[in-house]
Amino acid sequence: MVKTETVRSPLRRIAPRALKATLWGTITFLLYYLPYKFLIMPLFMFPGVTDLVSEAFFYVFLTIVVFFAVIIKLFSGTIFQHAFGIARALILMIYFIYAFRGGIIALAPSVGGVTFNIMLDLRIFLAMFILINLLSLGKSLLQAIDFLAREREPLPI
Amino acid sequence: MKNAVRALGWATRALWVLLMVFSATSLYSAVTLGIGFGEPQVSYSEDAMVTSLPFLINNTGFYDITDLNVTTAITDAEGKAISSSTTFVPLITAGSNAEVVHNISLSLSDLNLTALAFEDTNFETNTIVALKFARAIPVQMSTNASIPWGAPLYNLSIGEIGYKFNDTHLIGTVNLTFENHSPFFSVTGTIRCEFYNSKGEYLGSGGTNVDVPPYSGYQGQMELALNDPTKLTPNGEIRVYFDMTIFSLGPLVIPYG
Repeated sequence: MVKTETVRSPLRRIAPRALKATLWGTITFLLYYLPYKFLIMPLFMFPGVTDLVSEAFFYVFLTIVVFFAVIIKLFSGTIFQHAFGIARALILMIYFIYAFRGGIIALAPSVGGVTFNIMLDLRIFLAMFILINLLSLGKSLLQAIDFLAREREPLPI
Repeated sequence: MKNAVRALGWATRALWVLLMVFSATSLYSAVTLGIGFGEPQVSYSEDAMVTSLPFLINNTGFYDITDLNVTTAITDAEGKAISSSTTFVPLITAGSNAEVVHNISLSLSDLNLTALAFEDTNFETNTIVALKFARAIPVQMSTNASIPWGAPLYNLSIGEIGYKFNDTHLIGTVNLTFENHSPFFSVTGTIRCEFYNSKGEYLGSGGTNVDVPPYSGYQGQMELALNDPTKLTPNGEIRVYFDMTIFSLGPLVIPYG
């Protein structure tokens, strides 16, 4: 009887979290995938856009975002939640710098046999993405400090 | 601590919203940007050929277009720069349109007219369009093109000289042929010939008016009145001068005999 209780209790603890994490992962997936499918994908008919918005880059982004959404929910209420929050912000910053090729994007679409060399300076977008992730990083750091400080708080007499 | 975390959360959300709105409106504005081109006009002055390329930018988007700069650089077949023209439009406000004429000036004094008159060649053009979109996103577009140049006096040849007498003079007759390969202009004007003997003494001259439309050939006979037939030698030279409406060329020295 005692043995059955010990097996069931971690399962009982994990099952709702796993369910919550799966649900959260699905919502996150739809939240990013649907705007991509209906707003970005129609732009692929314009020449050169496939060079600008790579599908592979988007799926990498989607994987990162969904993975961290699931794992952060799975470890919610622990210090790992905040650690993964920090990791997500750092990885996304690196991802954006790589995906934006440092902010300067060169395209060479061919229209009617004539090749156009287009150079887009998207550093303002890159700066905004980095700023967002820096804020997210700061937030996760403060949350981690807050979490640790509360754990160390002496019990009221 | 909680307030700081909450503030950071709100700031992140606000930035996300700002980024999404800016991205969507920028993309929409870029896609709806209308660009139209007019009929190019070619005009000639004493020393230059000016090609005017009218174009229209209809900025129906949400953001201004600033510092629009159109530059066209032309090099000859050897890569020597022969023209560089720039058109600058400081501002096209959102919701307005701008009609711009980009003038490409080609100074005839910078060109090797003799070679261009007789030999087909290619001009290489490099066009660069630079602008700042939404006052924040610099965009630069460039393209290279090769423009074929058709020589207006291609394959010019002067045939054997024939002689005939009229009542007063000995008349030399020469056959003159060439092809106008130029797509831009007619060869209209006078071709003048001067006749010299082997000692370089002037013998006489003659001329003919020509009007050869683009992509047409010319075949005609020119008569040269010889003032003193005694000075005639078996060989010598003919100096040919071209006095056309858009260019003058000469002398082109062609030996005979």
